Parts: sequence; structure tokens; C-alpha cells
Amino acid sequence: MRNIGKITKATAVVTAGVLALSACSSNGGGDADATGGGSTITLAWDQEYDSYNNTTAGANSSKNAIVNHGLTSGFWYFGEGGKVTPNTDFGSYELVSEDPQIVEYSIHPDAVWSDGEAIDCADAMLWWAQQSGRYDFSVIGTGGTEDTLMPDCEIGDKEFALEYEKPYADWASNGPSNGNTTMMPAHVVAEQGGLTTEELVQAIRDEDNDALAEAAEFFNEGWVVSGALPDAELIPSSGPYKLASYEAGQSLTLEVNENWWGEAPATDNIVVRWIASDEQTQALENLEINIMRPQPTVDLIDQLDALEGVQHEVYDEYIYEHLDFNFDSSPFEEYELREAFAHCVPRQLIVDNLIKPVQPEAETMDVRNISPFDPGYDEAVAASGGDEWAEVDLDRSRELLEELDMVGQEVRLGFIGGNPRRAQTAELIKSSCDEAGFDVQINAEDTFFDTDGGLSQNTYDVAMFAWSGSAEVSGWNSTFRSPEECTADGKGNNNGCYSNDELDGLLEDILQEPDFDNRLEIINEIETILWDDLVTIPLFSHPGTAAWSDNLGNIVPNPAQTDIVWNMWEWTAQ
Amino acid sequence: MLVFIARRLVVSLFVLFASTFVMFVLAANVGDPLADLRELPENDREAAMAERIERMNLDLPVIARYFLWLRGALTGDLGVNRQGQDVNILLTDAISATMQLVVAATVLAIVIGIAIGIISALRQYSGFDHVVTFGAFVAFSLPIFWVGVLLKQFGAIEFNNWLARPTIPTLVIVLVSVLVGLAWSSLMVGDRRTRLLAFFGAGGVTAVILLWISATTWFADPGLGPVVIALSALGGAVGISVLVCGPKPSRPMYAALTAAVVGTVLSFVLTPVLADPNLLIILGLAVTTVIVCVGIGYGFGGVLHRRNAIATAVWTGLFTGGVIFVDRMLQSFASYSRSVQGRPISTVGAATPNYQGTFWETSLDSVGHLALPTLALILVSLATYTRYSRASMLEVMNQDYVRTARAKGLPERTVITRHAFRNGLIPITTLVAYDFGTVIGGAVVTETVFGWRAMGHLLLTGLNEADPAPIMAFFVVSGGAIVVFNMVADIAYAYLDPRIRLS
Repeated sequence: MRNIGKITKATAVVTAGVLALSACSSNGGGDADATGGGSTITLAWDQEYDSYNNTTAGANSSKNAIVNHGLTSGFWYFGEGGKVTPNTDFGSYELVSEDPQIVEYSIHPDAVWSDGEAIDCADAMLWWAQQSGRYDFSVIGTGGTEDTLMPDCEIGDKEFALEYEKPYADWASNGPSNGNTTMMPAHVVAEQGGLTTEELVQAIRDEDNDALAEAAEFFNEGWVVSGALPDAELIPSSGPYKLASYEAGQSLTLEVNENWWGEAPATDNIVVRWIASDEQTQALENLEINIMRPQPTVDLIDQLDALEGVQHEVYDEYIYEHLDFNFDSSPFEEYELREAFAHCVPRQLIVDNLIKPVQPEAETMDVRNISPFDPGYDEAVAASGGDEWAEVDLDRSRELLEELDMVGQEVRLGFIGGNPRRAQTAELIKSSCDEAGFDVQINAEDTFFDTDGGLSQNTYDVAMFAWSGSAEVSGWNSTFRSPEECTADGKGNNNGCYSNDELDGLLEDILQEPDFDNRLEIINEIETILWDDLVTIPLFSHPGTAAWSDNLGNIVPNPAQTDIVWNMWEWTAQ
Repeated sequence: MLVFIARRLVVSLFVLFASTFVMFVLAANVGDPLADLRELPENDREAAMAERIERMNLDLPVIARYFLWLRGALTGDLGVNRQGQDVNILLTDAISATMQLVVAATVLAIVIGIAIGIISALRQYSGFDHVVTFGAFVAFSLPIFWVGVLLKQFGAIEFNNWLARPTIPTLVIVLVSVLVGLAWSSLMVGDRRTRLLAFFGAGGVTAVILLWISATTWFADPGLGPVVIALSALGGAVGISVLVCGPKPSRPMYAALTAAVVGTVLSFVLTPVLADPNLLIILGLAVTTVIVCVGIGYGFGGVLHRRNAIATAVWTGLFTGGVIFVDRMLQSFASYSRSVQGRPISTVGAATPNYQGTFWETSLDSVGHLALPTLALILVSLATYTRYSRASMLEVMNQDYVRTARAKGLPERTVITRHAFRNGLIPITTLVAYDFGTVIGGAVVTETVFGWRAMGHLLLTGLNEADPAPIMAFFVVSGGAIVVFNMVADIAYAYLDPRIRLS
């Protein structure tokens, strides 16, 4: 008995201690108002920077893009709302001839690398050599540039031209940009490759891959950051900022490039700190970071709402969720069955239950190839009739199933495991379609995207995943084109192996249509076919979030790959 | 003994060797290293895959990749990860971050854990013992990610908010004073009167200190001041000499008191040096302190007490130095706090990026960043040490030779410090050595919660990306550490325990 008494006492004491602790914290909770970061703005990012050259296939990732965006500049960038925006600081370009299609580029006369070397034809030649894919330089994709002729210019020239062998619709966003299609410094590549700049350009002209071997080796591997930044002379900047310092696993600092010829950036230093996304909210509350860009969840939005001195915004990203039918080996080859399924997929309910809690004004996405915030979306919806499929019509769905004599038809809904929102979406589809008379099997596979996984092997009847979109028409073109053969390697992005000659013609046309309004017309026709034939069912565009201390100015979220940093040189801190 | 060590070493090497093979095969099959690329747009996919296949040699069978890796590893080259980063460099950075994060925490957990364990063994079944046992089990069963998040909320965010107006509510003062009073009274041996005296004495002193802290908003611009420095130094001197040679005034006590006085006086004389020193100066001062104190002890000790006098003087000197060090840090607190927007305790990272300041300010920056992860690690690992040392101490206290020592009339202090304490520590050596071995493997969860990128991060990223090179680097170092420290534990045990050494 004696011991029990003591234990009770001890418990009481501990409880009192806890109470004291909480009393202390709640009473003390005042406002420690910050004066802001002065001329430093700190951005939190989940993944660590690892290459100064994100134009290579392996380093093309947002962790590098958000930093290199400020280090580099080019003729255009993804500006406000993700639109292709000419960068007049860097130079100018124009379409001078439509047939043959020729685009003339003119670099600003004052344009120099941060080490003082002029930005000129040599850099453009290296850029072209890489983007054309004909050399050993690693490249992300060669679309567009592979069909251009080699530019004809001399070292020191500030002008060059790209001549297309066949018209290319996205010519305006095909020249050197910043980030992952920027011009890399030719003088650095030449020196590291044991060449003079003249020899480098000559080797490119001669398509002499042997002479370029060392240069290509450096280009592909030499700018990888392991443990420390490469030597300062290897990483010159062509943008408003340059790399100042790097602390492995901790942070990276950008400082103003004093050789930048355009308008000086508003903030002296941008610091990127690498912090796991779950830990960013508390860091923002404790003023250790100023900007965060997490994935939105209901909990997170609630947390952000409760923070004082923090602003946040939920917005559409260029990513949309959709259902893809399998036209190769599933009962959905039958149009009526697709129609029955389309009638039971609760698109509105999915948005209401899963997206609206984080983004109250969210709507269903009713076409595939224009994002809801892009011009022409409403027209495309009206033209294609996509908005008619928002609400379910279970009676019609059951009627169709009965006509087909397929009530109780088993359909496999395949998607990648480990994503709670997708699993919830699948549950909503299952409960609605089972009611209509389907028997939906939920196939969440961890290896769904692998070569031996469900998507490649077509072991699904309907697949659910997301495509990342963009304002460029070349980005989604192959998704709906008839595949050469329906195998894992042969079908490309057209996973369900849908095939339609009329659609193929329209897709070819749009790729060569330089006029924006005409392109929108073709998109309307394409979307009409995609809805009439129920090729895929778009569900919703993914919401993104950004939160920042409210003493910052000019923070504008952006749906494009350049993300929140698209206008980092305009950021201000009071 | 040497043969034994050599045999252990050879066997361990073979085990490690074989396990690298198993580990490599597992690591190579942990997932699809190309998974992320498969979601790229079609035009970009092929090039990216080709590049990664070449870099990771994915076109070769796993066995061939293992031998490629082994060839590199044997020549000290751990290869590149899938981004082409040099794993040797990543590993070096990871180890140094892990060391910063866990060494202080482990040492503190050991010292505090053993101290608490021994005190609770000496006061078995007292209130203190029960509270410690209860607390140890609570802390032991807490999930560290949760402790981490709570610490960040209350230890950093709310604490920093509170610093803006650092007054302590009366209720808190009363509760804390009562708690401190209870702790002291339960530690006292004696009748009700002694305990009451301890309760009111300790509680009263605590209340006065807290009231003073609150009234002067001490936390806004803390510091100890000459009086507190002098009092702490003298108190430390008395405490240390009582532990070493009993409560009666003796030559060692005079040596300790002299060391304390000299230290306190020097703290004022050395003000210009201490304004903005560097690590070298601090280490130099520590060495000087030791030399001077050895001299003091030598002078005061006479022939009979020389050894004890030198020991007490040196410990007192270092303690006084520590107090002065803390005082200097506290004096810089206000200016440091201002330079980080009034938020000295951080929730993530190892340092404020690009922070520049005096030695004291940069030290505070490290402390501010290390405080919470260290606290979290101590909380969860404290329990093992308290429980182990309590059990071991209790066992020793019931041994025959302890009874013999008491029977021959030795004072209780001598029985505990000379006879029981030393032998009680032997089993704990094994635990400590083993712990150091595992600790190098990292504190994966703690790292993640507090935004550190160390060994755990190396392993996790490797696993998530199905990238064998970093996984293997992690495995070689952490596996090697466990092998080495296990052996160190065995050797230490044999060395400390004559029964094993001589058998």
C-alpha cells in the first residue's frame, strides 16, 4: 500500500509539472514581431540542390530548377500564370519567315557572364549542339531543335537564327531560356574539355564527337555538386543572381550578380534551406524560413490558417488527374461500356470531397489539354461538351449495362499505391460505379509505373494517374497518337493504345500551326473527339500551395515548372 | 588476450565482408531505380533513363555490380550515387553532421543517466526513486517524432514568443518551487524535521530566484554577474572536495577554494581576451587552467594529500572555467537574439545560414540549433542508462565486500565512491561502448524532424531512390562501427574487471 500511495503522489506531481509547462507557454504566448529578413529571403525546399547544369537529362529536377532559375537567363521564361514570356533583358527574338520557318535571335549587346566573358554565338552553338541531340552532350529532350539547321554565326556575334525543317508550333518557347533549356557557358566547357573556344565551335560545326569527348564528359558530369560547389570560375552566371555559398545538407545562398546588365534584383540574398516538407510549417512560424511550397492537405491548410503573420494561397498546378481506358485488352474497347462508366464516375463528388476542402473554388477539369486558368479553357469546354459529365447518371449507366448484358462486369481500376488522395478517389469511384452495376476492383500497385507494372503491361481496365501539362502543344501531343505497336516500349504515352486516324491528323496539324488562335480551334476539335469517343476522363487539376511571411512582397505562385521562384528577382522584404 | 583480440578481429572482418554482399543484393533490389523517370514526358524519358542506366550500371547483373562496387570500395572509392555525386564526400559530410548531432547528446545522456540512476539506487524506494522510475519509463515509451514536434512547438516557437516579454506567472513559480522542494526533501535521509527543512529551504531559494528572474526580466538579457560566478565557484569547490575527501576542512579543500578564487579573479582580468576569442584560445585557457591547478594542488597538498588536492583543484578549476564560459555566452544572448529576429531557439538545421558574429554569438547559434534535437535524444535514451546504472549499483551495494567495508567502519561516502561506484560502472561500460557504435548509424527520425542531413538521411535517400552506393557507404561505416565498438566493449570489460582478465 505504501508504494501505491507514493506512486499516486508521484503521478500528481508529474501532472502538475505538465500543467505548469502548458500554463507557462500559453501565458507567455505574445507576439514576437519580426523585423523581416532585411535583404535576405529564405526559401525552404524539400530536396537538395545537386547540379549547376539542369539542362542534362539526369539533373532536370525542380530542386535544381528553383536555384538555377536565378543564375541563368534566356530569351524567354515561364512568366505570370505559366505563360511563355519574352525576356527583353536578355535579348529579343522574332519569327522572320513562316516558310521556311526562321526565328532570329539577338542577344543584348551588354550581355556577359558573371566572369566578364561575353555571351555570344559560341554559347548559342553549344546550346544548339546539345539541344539537337546529335552530340554526346546529355539533353532532356530534343523536340523542336532536332529539326533545325545548325546556326550560322561566328564567335563574337550577338545574332543567330534557327531555321526549322518543318514548321514547329512552339517556336516561341524553343529558344534558349533559363533553367533547364538555358545556354551553358561555352568558354568554361571548352577550357575543361582541353579546347579553345574556337576549337569547340569548329568541332561542333564538323560534328566531331571525338574532339568533343572531354568537353561532353565535363558538360554531363563536371557541374554536379558533391559536398561543395565547383570552383567559382566553373560556375559563372548569366542571370541576376550568382551562387555565393553552399553548406552540404543545409543551405545554399544566392547573391546579386554585379555583372548583370539588366535591372538589379530587389533582394540581395536568396537562401534556399533544405527541410523535409512536414517540418517546414514550424520553421516558417519560427521565422527560420520565409517561403514554403508544400503539398496541400486539409491539416496543413488549417495549420497555415492559424498562423499569424503568414499568408498562403492555394492554386491550380499544371498537373491533372485523369482516368485512361485500356483499348488494347479490356472490356472498355466497347464504347457503350465506357459510356456507362463515364456516367457513374462521380467527378463532381470527387472534387467536392477531396479538393474543395483545400481549395474552396475548385471545379472539375472538363478538358484535358488546356488548364482551367489558361485562355481558351471555357471555349474548349463549351465546344467539347465536357461539362455534361460532371454529375453521375446512375440510371443511364445501369440501363447501358443492362443493354450490354454486362451487369456485374468486373473492371480493374489500376493506380500507384502510397497516395492517399488517389486511394480515396478510387473508393468514391468504386462506391458509385458498384451501385450502377459495375464490380470495380481496386488495384493499387506500388510498381504501377514500372516496365513490368500495370500501366506498361496493360493489366488494368481503367488506369488513374496524373499528367503534368504545360502551355505548349508539343507537351501532350504523343499522348493521344496512335502507337506504332501496343507494347511497353512501343506505346509511349498512349498507354491505353487508343487509335484514331482523324485525331492523328489533327495532332500533326497542331504541332505545325504557329498561330495561337488557330491552335485553340484545333484543340477544340481534338477535345470534342476525346469526349465523343470517351478516350480518357479528366478529373481535376492538382492544387498547389505556397505560404510566406506577410512582410514579403511580390510573391506570386505560378503553375509552371519554375514554380514560386519564377519572379524571384522581384521579391522584396520589409 | 592478444590472440583473442586478433581472432575476434578476423572473424568480424569476414562477417562484415559477407554481409556487404547480402546488403548489396538487398539494396539493389529494394525498388525500381528508374521509377521517378517513368513518369516523365515521353520525349524526355529515354535520355534520362539511358543516363541513369549507364551511371548505375543497371545493364549489368547485380553480382557484377557488387564486384564493381567492391573493387572501388577496397581502394577507398565508394562510387557515385545516381545523381553522379561522389559518395565519399557525401559520407564525410554525413558523418560530421551525425557527430555534431549525437555526440553531445550521447555523452550528456550517459552522464546524466548514470548520475540519476546511482542517486535513485542510493535512495531506493524514496519518492525521488519512484518519480525517476516513472519518468524514465514515460520518456522511454515516447515516440521521438512526437517528442520532436512538441519540443519544437513549446521549446522553440512558444519559448521564443515568451522571450519577447519574459515574466514568469506566479502559479508557475509556486509549482516549480514546490517540485524542487519535494525533490530535495525526498533525497534527504533523516527525520521529518530534516525533510521539512530541506523542502522549505530548497523551495524557498527556488522561489526567490524565479521571482528575481521574472521581476528583472532576466531572460531578455541574461548573465550571471560577478557575485553568482564567485558563489558558484566556491560552492563547486566545496562540493567537489566533499565528494573526494569528506566534509571536514582539509588540505584538498583549501586547494579547491584557492583554485575557485584564482579562477574568479582571472575572469575579470581576462576580460579583453574573452571579448571575442576563438576555439584555440578557449582550449589554451583550459590547458592553462589545468596546469595552474596542478600547481595549486601540489603546493597545498603536502606529501600526504597531494593526489587528492591536485584532483580537487583541477576539477574545481575546470568547473569555474565552465561557469565563466556560460556567463560569457549568456552575456552575448541579447545581441544574438536580436540578430536572429528575436528567435534564438531554432526548429531546423545545424546553423543559421551565413551567420556571422563573435565567437560567443556563433557558439550560441550552434547551441540554439542543437538544443532541441539534443534534448529529444537525451529524453529517449536517458531511460536505459538510469535503469541499467540503478540496477547495477543496487547489485553492487548488496555485495559482501560492501558490507565488509561498512563493517570495518569506513564512512558511507568512501564506501560508495571507492568501493561501490567503480564496480557498479563495469557493466555500464559495455552498454556505453555498444551505444556509441549504434549511434554512428544515426538518429534517422531525429534528423528528419530537426532538418539535419546526416547518416540517417544518406540511408533513407538511398532506400527511397533504390540507389545502392549510399546505402553501402552507410552500411560499411555503421556496420564497421558496431564491430569495432563491440570489441572495444569486450576489451574494456576485460581490462576493468580483473576476474575476467586473470581467468
